[in-house]
Amino acid sequence: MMTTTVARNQPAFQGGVGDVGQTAATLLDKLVRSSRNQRERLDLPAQRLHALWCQSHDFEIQVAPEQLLVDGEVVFEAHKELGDWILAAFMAGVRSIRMDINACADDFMLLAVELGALEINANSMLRFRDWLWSDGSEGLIIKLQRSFVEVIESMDVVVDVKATGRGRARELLPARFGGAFSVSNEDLERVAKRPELHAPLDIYTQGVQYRGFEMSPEERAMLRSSCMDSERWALVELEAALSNADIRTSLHPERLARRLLDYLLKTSSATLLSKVCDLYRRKDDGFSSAVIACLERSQYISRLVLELELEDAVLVELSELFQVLGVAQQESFASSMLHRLLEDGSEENLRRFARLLRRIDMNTFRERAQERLLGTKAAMTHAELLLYAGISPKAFSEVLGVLDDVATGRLLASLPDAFMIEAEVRLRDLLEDGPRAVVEDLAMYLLSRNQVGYVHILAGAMLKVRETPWSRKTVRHVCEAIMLHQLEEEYLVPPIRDRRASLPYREIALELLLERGSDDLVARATKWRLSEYFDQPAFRERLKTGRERLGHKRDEKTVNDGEFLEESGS
Amino acid sequence: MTLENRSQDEQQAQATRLREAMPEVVLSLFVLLKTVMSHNATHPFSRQMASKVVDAVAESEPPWDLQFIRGGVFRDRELVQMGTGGFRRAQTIAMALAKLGFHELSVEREVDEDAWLKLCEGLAKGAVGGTDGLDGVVIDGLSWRAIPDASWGDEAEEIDPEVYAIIQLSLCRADCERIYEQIRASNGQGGWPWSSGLVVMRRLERAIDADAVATARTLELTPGAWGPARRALSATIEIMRVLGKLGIHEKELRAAAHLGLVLGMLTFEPRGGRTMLEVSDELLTFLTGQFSGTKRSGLPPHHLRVSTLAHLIAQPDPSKWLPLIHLISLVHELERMRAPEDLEIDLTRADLLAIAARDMGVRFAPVWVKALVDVHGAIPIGARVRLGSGEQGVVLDARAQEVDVLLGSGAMKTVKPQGLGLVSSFEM
Repeated sequence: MMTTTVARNQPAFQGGVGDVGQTAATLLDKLVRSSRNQRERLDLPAQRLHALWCQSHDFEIQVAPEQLLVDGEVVFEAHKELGDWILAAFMAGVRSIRMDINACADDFMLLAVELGALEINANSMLRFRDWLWSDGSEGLIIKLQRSFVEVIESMDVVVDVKATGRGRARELLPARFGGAFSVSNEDLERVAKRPELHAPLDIYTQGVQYRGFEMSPEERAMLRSSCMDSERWALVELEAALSNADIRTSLHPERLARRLLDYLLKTSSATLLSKVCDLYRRKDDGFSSAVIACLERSQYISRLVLELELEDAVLVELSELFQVLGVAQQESFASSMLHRLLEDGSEENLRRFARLLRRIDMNTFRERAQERLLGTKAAMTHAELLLYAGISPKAFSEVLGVLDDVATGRLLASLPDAFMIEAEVRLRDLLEDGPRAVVEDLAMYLLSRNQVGYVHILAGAMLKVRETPWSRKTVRHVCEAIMLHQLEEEYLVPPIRDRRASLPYREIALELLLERGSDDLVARATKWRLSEYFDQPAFRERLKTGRERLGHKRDEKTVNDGEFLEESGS
Repeated sequence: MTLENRSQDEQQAQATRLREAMPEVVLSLFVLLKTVMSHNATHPFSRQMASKVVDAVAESEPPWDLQFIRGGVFRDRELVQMGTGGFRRAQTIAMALAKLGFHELSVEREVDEDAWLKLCEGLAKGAVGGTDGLDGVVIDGLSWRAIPDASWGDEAEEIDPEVYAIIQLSLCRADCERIYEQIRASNGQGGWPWSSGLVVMRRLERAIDADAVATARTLELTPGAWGPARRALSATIEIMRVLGKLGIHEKELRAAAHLGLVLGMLTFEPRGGRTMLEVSDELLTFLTGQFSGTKRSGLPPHHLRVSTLAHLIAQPDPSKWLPLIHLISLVHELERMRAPEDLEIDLTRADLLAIAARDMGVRFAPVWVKALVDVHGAIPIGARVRLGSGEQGVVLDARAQEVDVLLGSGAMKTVKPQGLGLVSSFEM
């Protein structure tokens, strides 16, 4: 899909259009040139370029003075304004561009902005190299040669090549060596008064001699890991950014967000999560909200829930995070939780999720549900999480009371019997007044449980439904169940004679009774009544058939009278 | 507008004009070369083109030197700004010149058409593969020469690493002196000049990559006072060497080293200076002072890391510091003491290490002192030593089994380390 879009938008260029290299090079050129025009949007072409590059992560564009190459083959050639940045990039030392596995579209956009501003002069190249050196191009791997300026800087300086090192040191040392280092008596007196300078060299020499300064492998490893502790770095960077306005206003929020995301997903850090909570709390702060927006664009919440190790401290912070999330994020959070739970299904994880859910204060969530602020999916997820958390049937019936009909219907269609008993009132209400689709799904579920109690509930509801009759299929299934449980007398005979019952119900009930019902029940159901005249002719015909089958003469006469009456009426 | 400002503006305008004149010189020279190649130097077309060279050169106000290095053209070592077409033309001239064994063309004054025709006649031979086009040719006002490094290969990495390291260090020192003056002139109010700072950092990194020992040795042994810039540079090198030896990633290493440089430049005085904690509150403000200039594509991650370290230093509780800050603190304090206030003597590396050893576990984190010692070994370069014979000297190089000592007489002696005794700066 993406490739198609890219191919459609790229100018026809050289032979073999459609080749990824050509397309990528052309897109990169377009992006760089667009970056000089502030009115041009860069995000979309950057996304396209990123998507294209993602198709092959080890794809590399080489930079020559006037061309871009892939695998040594020219894929783009500078011509007039097209590719006018390539020479400058080459002179600045850029030799190739590759994408890192963690790159995002933003990285291409920032690179394009810098390349677009690059000019063939020393200052501009210097700024560009500074930017590269400062990790500005993170996400991209840029192979660098020394820039033209650095090359000339390093050559032909007046230094005698043969007289360097020791020879040069000898030149550089004072000619008066031997005398110059002697300390004047005045200075020695001053030194004597300054204890901070009294440090006998023996301390050092003996320390070295007796290995007092030798580092153990453990110490070395400790230093290494503590210096490169990415989690701590992420934490303090975030702290610094949040506490200093100058940093905040200069920082690209996406940059910080991406780094945070990297660290958050690599480590189960409760402290880091706590800082993320701070971000969510500072909604008035533009920087914080921008960082959050970036995090959410990366589907941060769901990735976080799916990838974090759910240790106790992390669970506490997750529940804290849940509290400060907006409605949409809560939905995402809860859905991801459920997804992970269902995917994993291990006892240990179930236990951990349950612990988490106990820590989550669901009141806010419940209030939202009550005010119908939650989507069906979120509401369902919420309720399902509560079930996993071990909510009591009674408490759960209260939750069901505040959920919308669709969510309730779907939930009821998955509840164990104990919960159904507590939720009976809500179940009956739903069956009588709920949306038809929900009711029918629910009815099928209840029937599948093959329990007489559910048949009672269904038949009772079906009897009361007047305005939005259930489908014939559902009615038939319910009526079959009524027959199966021998409840015909209660639920099939009465509607046949009750004109307020829905027509499908009456027709199917009569049909089943005529097929399989006892003579007694058929007789009771088809016994002639005056109100029969108000039924549809087909239904009247069926009633008559029933009576004929039983051979009730008086009924026969009644029918004749009826015909007479009908004829008279007409 | 003051006279000084006006003068600066005029100078800038002049520099811009001269810069802009050079592409025209290259273009006219290229056209002349091609004309001479396709016709010959005596053809009227060639003379016509030569007159254009004369005009272009007149606009460029000689004298100047034009270097053709690795595809770039430099006027007096400053890159000439040219587009793609200019690059191609320059390449043609550069290749012709290189074939003849030269890389630099010097124009001492304006010369006439004949001189340019004669030059291009020689260049034309080079352009078609000849190697002796300019042999024996003398043109008054024009000269050419080879730049040795330029012919070493296609890549600049082939420059002798030790030479390269020393050159880069020298440039760093000059840059640091300039930055220090700039900071002092603005009384620290202008903030840290990031761009200049990054130039120093990048040069220093290249120097250490090329030859770390030569870099450290050159700084340690160079005569002259240990002024603030030199000590700041020394602190930076120490951080880079220690972290480099520990195998710390580039990102963290660069951040710590850069902060070491900034801290030194901000706090060091010609003698002594302020401690890290004394400037902890103002350090971050100083660093962020020029952040507004980085808005093009946002603050790069390196800047954020350096600022983050500065932010942590301002925290009253050192337990919240990243461990790197303890190293920065250690080397900063040692370099601060290198040039003690009220004294005319500068301490050597050995003296500083002795102080570090003495205060290990008191002022300085033991593990970082050990890491520092690990870099320098038993006999630090620059240490003053006494030989078994009683002679005194300075250590120029120390290897596992032998040490090179420059004696007071100026003679060099290689001795076993066991036969040496370190001497304090106050004992010689």
